[in-house]
Amino acid sequence: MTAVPTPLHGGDARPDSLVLVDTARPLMEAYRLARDTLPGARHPTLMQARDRAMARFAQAGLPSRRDEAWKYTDLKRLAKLVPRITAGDQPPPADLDDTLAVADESLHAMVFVDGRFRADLSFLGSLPDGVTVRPLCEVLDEDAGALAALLNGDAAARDGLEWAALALITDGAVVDLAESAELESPLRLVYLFSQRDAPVLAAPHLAVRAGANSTVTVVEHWAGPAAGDAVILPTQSIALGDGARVRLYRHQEGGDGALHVARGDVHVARDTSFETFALTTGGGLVRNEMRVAIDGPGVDVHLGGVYLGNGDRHVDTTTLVQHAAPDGVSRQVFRGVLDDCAHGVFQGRVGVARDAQRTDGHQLSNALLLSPKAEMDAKPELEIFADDVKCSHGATTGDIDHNALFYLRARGIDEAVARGLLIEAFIGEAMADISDEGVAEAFADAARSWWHTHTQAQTAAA
Amino acid sequence: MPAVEETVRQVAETANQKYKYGFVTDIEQERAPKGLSEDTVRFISAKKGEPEWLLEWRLQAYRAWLEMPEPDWAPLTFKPIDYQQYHYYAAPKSDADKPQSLDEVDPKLLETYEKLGIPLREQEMLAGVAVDAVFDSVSVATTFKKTLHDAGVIFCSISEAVREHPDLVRKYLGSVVPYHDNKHACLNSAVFTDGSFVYIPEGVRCPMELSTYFRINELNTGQFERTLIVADKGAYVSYLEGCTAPMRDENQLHAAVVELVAHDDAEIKYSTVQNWYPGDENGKGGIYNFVTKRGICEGRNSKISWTQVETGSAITWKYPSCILKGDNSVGEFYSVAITNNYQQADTGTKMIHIGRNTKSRIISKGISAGKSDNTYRGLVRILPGADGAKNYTQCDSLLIGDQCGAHTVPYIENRNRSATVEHEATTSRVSEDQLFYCRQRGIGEEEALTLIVNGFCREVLQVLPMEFAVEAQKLVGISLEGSVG
Amino acid sequence: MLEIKDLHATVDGKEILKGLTLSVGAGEVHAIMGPNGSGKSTLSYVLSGREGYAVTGGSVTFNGADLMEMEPEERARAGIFLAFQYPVEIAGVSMTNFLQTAVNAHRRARGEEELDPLAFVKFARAQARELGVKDDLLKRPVNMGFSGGEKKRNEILQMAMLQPSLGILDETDSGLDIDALKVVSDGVNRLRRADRSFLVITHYQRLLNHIVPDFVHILAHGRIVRSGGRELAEELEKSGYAGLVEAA
Repeated sequence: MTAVPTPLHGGDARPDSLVLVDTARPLMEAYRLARDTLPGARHPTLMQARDRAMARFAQAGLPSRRDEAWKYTDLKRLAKLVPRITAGDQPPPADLDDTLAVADESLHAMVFVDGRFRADLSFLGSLPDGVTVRPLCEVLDEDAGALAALLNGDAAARDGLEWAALALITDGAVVDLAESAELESPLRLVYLFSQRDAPVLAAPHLAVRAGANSTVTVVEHWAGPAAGDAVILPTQSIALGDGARVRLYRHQEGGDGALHVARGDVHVARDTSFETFALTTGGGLVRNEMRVAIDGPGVDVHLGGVYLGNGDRHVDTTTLVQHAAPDGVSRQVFRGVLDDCAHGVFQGRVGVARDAQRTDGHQLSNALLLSPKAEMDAKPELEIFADDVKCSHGATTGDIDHNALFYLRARGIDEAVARGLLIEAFIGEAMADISDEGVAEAFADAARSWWHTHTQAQTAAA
Repeated sequence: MPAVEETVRQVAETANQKYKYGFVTDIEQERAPKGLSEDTVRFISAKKGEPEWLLEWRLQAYRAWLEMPEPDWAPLTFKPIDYQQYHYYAAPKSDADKPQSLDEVDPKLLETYEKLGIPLREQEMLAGVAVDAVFDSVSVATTFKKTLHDAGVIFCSISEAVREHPDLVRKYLGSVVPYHDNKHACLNSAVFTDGSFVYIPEGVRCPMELSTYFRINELNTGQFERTLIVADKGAYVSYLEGCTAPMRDENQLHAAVVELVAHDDAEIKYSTVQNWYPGDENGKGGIYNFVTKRGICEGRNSKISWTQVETGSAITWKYPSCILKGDNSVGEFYSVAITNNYQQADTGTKMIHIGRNTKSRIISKGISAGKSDNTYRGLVRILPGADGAKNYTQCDSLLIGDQCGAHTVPYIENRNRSATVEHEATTSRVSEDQLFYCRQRGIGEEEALTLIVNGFCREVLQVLPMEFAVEAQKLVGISLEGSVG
Repeated sequence: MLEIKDLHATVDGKEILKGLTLSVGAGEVHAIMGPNGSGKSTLSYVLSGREGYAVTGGSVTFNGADLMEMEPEERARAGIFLAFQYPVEIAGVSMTNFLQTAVNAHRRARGEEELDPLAFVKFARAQARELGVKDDLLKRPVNMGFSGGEKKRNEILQMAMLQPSLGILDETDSGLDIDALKVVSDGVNRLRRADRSFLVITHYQRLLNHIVPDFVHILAHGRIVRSGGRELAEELEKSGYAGLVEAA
């Protein structure tokens, strides 16, 4: 750590009065410039909490590869950018309707531009009783303490970049479900980005508070930016009450200029079911970090993802599933396809505390390397302190199965088509865990389309 | 002449010379003064009558040691080591200091020997009892020496090798584990006082399994053992390290270094059964075992195979590794690590694939009982040039009781698409069903547990040389005593 | 030989055996029949001393000794053998190693010399041959990858080698086709002796066509509701459990 020990003078330390770690400067500056335009700016206590979080970042700086949690992902690219927070008031891109498919009554969609909520582009339709979906800015207007728990947490619990992401929260969605409330069709969160000279900095937050026995599905769509740089630092705090069922899906696309470091904190109580899946087809540097704390017995947790890498893109999946209560089941299946000079990372940890007897934890990471310069680093960890458990992990990397490829070609199928079929089959095994049929179909299409575009580009280049 | 005598003679000779480094300590004394300094390093080197280059090498290591932080990747908890509290050189114990008969030896230790079925004579030897010059094994050892000599195999203490085969030692010492590799390796390089040297010439298959066990004159290998084994083209050697019986040893800190070099078509099989004192049921005492072991498959089609059964030491910190440089070379790591009471083990391997079609295989079985913690930590790295490389890793952990921990921390780095890397890990416990089934057949609870755990470790135990395997199986049972019921 | 008096036992706090009384003399074969959930398997586990089966009342003496005071392995060495309904798999432990350990534990308990590996293998092979079990089964890990028939045959082989005075067959017929059933029954019949008794626990009468019992008991709701000769099994075949259990 490159931390410069600087005394903090209580809670009122202004970040610009601190000695900064070099890598912290650009984000600090972006914060300073936009501070008074951020949601809740008129509440001094909230802003002090933001300042404090930023000061923590200022002290710690960006994580480096010397930090065990960042051993395989280098944030040097981020350190070089000088991003700015925008007001998010640019006109939407022309293809917004495509992104949202059809707008009908059952569609609940919130649209964000540069991480700022856009009421004019969003439509929430009619929500059932017990379900409220509001932009964070609106929530903060009423309740300045809404982010207090998050911003006042233990300093050591998060790295510098995460403190920055929290301090910078540009807006977000707050989803509340009362006991037994149910939102039938998925809530869509669409994140768009404007084209600017300076890289855009966006840090939207998603809060889901699912009451006992409630049900909700949230689909995040990160659309861009197609060109230009952006620093995207989403954070999530998800809490499931007893018996709740939450599904959270994410699709990330966009150009190589996007640096996307997402952090999710999930707390699940007794007899809950939590499912999440991330499809990554774009972004220059992506890290999806998901931490699930299993606080109650009898839960069922599924984490999954498919990442498709080409060019010199870098995709990092980091998970931490901590079983603190007995009789929990956790399943993780991640699959990656890496071509060109793409770099994949999987870091997963399953922890089982002493009291979490009869835990069943399983974790699987498989990656295909399609090119001589592609790379994959995996670190699947088990940390077990209970004896009556079944835990396992598996990790493989390797090339496409040449026997299978030959078999298909011997049946008269073109090599490119055959490869496509095998890759589709490979990622299909992870996709099969997506329980929402509509999402499963859309993600399969998106993956196919990535492969198609990618191979077209390769052919054109050759 | 046994090396003990040789050392004594040599020390005497050195003492007669005027000590050129102006070291204030009287050279005639048996021990270096407590603590570590450049003077300590010079003292050791002078006592051993070493050439200038080796002293320089030691001093470089010492200076690197001063600068280097302690390795911190393993989640081990122990009091910081006070390096200044140790003596770094002590002349071999005189017979007067040793126990005069087995009656003076800790009965618990003897009980363990009994269970392992070690003959009385050997028990005396292991317990460090002063023995007659006509001790049976001495003549046995002499016979072995002749056979080896006729085959052209060099097998001697590293001190002797420095004197008798300086070119070989100079060429290979530190070539696999450089003196600045890690803090513990630095310390070893600076102050090692003994260890083994093996050289198998081209085309020679070593006619017997080599073992420190038979080199009785080297039994008191001390805190900082250094082992160097070189197998020239087409050579083969199987080396057994350590001893299945617990060693009577007062030293708390062991920092050993083992280097293996395998040239074209050569094979080295290195087996260890480590049963140093683990401390008592309350976690008091026990050895800190900080070991750096690494082999390089320098030549084409070469093979290095590590097998370890680790049941002792309060703390085990070791990662026997293979650098697979030669095309088609093979690295293997078979490990059983058992921890009980308050023991902590952080062990595993590194397989670095550099050459084409290199293969590695890792089979690790970790058993945790009592309040112990047992971690597998391993690295598989496939470099871009390692076309067709293959790795298979299987890590299984077994927990006995609900107060212990089992952890698996593999690092897998693949930079070559034609490489195949497969890693599997499981964690489970001894099932009540299995225990009951055995007991219903009349097998007592502890014996049943031993049987089941030995079954769990079978893949590793079966690659041990025969005579080791039998004792290792018994050790499994002894290590787990008190963990059921 | 075996005297069970007013035995009460609970599993997870639920009373399963509710006052079971049974007396088995030397050389006798007793069949215990009962519908699912009547407590048949509980009886076999209580007799063999499995953890989790708490005896809350009554007594069991075996050759005059209080069986309930003994550890599972002590009961085994005293001559109680349970042929498991679901034999347990143990990875990495060969049948030979397992059986040698068990046989020598028995021999030690009797104050006899242990068998060395060579003598043991000879003994094991001879026993296997007698029961028509292939040698290679002895080399395989305990029950690993065994077919249903092989597992049951393996149980009988172990019984032959350990020479118990009471053999408890817990639903040995379950999952066996007619040929395997015959092989297993022949094995048991060959082991019948004047000083060896059997408790044959089964749901179906068909096993009793092969292993002919001296006595048949109907177990229902945790106690023996009827006892009789082998004709009782035939009656059961005709009327089913419902009629018999209700009549009692």
